[in-house]
Amino acid sequence: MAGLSLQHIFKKYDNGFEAVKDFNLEIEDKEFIIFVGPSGCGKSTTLRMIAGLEEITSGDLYIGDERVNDVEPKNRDIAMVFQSYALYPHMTVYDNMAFGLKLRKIPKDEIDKKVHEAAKILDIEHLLDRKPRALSGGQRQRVAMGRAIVRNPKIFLMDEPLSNLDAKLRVQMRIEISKLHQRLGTTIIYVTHDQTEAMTLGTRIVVMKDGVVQQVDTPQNLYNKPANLFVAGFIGSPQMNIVDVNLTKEGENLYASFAGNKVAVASDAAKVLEEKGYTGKTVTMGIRPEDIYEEKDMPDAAEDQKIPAEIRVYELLGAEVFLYFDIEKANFTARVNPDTSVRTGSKLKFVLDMKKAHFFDKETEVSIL
Amino acid sequence: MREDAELERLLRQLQRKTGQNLLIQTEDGQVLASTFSAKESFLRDAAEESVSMQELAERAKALSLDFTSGRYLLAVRAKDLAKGLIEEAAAAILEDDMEAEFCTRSACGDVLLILAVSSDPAAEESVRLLQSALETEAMTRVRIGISSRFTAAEHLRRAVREAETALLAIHTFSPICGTLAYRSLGISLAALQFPEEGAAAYLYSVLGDTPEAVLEDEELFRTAQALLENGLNSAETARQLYIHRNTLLYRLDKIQRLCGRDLRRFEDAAAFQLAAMIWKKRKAENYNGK
Repeated sequence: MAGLSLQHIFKKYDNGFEAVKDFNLEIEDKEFIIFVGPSGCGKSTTLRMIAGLEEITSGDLYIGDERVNDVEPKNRDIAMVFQSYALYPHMTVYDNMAFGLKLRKIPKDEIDKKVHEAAKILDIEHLLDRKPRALSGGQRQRVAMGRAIVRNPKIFLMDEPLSNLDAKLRVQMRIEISKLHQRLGTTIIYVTHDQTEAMTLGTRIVVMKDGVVQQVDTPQNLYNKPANLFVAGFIGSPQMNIVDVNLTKEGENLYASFAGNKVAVASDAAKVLEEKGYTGKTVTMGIRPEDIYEEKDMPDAAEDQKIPAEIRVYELLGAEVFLYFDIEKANFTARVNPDTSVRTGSKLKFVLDMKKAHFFDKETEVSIL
Repeated sequence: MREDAELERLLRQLQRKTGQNLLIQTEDGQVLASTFSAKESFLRDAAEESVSMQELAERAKALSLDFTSGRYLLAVRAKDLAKGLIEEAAAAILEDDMEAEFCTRSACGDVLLILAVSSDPAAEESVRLLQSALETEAMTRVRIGISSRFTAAEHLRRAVREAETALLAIHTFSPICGTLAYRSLGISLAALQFPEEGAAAYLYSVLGDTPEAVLEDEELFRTAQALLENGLNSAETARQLYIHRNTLLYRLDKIQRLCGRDLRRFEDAAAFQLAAMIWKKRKAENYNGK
């Protein structure tokens, strides 16, 4: 069994910098879990602590039932695939995959068996006699993974392994990695700064910021129920629209006012906001671009769901159009149908689907709903 | 160097048992016996500054060492990493027009390696790959400092200092970083060399009475660093931090209120960055009990 348990893990460097703070996570055996976050958020540092390449300042790391804080990296049964994976240019694919095993004085026949097994899994047996310069980008990536696979590790750690590839190849390799996970049946912990990659690859995602876990959840929940403003802005492309609103009660309805506009808050959300004492207060509202519609596409929408706007930028992406507009200092993006007649400079009304709106406490930035 | 043949014989026996190069050295630095090769001894003596520059040049000539086409010196710091593994990995990773010539272990335990590479970018790329390869194969944390390019044996001593300084900069300012070139140090070199007696006065003159108000506020400090990393470009900084541009401007205004520096102005940003690095250096020194 190669589940992992990270309990109150901290990493503090000699210069006082705290790279990871109170990281807690249980990873199931054979799980494919993603650590995602902006550069410098602590995701690679956490991965390196799991590998043993960085010392854990405090906290406990278990692999299976064994506490491994003081276990040498080479004894943890772990293999890493780095972003800047290095294929040895003078060696064949076979020798590249065998190099690490030779250094560890593994017998020759055992090396041969392991290399061929790994090559078969990766479908690169026909490439074993080639040198790296004769390989495509995707093939090189598979060889890099092959160097990790030959170790037969319990856990694979992948640190942004696709970030050096072009966009098209990245998409292809994501599928390969997904298939590899199913074939190998091992635990994979994958680090990326790319939220699209995280959402497409992982069954469970750990979002990090400034060394702290923001939310651990499925891709769907991260998208639909972000725990705080950071997760809301980080997950989803284009980014969620964010604006400060003042909540006021008029009759039975709760309204969110901003920049001279007033929109009615959906009843379910209104109930929670009122119960938590936010009436009369300023909160941060978020609404995704796909939840903003042209008035013509929502003919039954009430007037108190609409805001007027003048289009600043019209962007056609083929299957969809992005419309950018400002309301005073607030920038908005709407994703609309490509058959829209709206262009730059057009004036129209947009309907906000307030049932999909998110509300965050202005001070703590935590989701209120 | 005085050598005792019997001592050397015994040393070689120990070398076979331990797999390590060994030397016997008196308190005043005289080497009585050594198992290091002549080239390794040459590099070691250059690093320890135990011979004059003239002697270095003469020994280089005697060993047929010609650095005129340009060399880099790497200082490799890693726990439990055999010198032999570094040499093997370097030989494996380098392209045809590059060579890891020879190496030795310095008195402080770093492995010093002479690298024959054509240019700064090629050197840095090769070292980055080497660092990655070593970590993958040896499964231990590896940090590498890279000297500036040198072309004569007399420059070797300076090259060793530069590579070790780059390692110090990694430890002090960028512990997450794997490799760093001396030529890239920039303001961090000024911070490392800033005289201690003037440091506190400089800090307070730049950042006011409470520098910690910004420097110890993680969100504000990270915002400042991101702005500097992005060449004072607000739009790119906001994008990198995943915040709205208005949020960024609000934070920069707050920094200005707290320390009097408008980081959107180059002069203020440069002064802030030097002060921040001096702060980090002092923290690192205090942490290590200096």
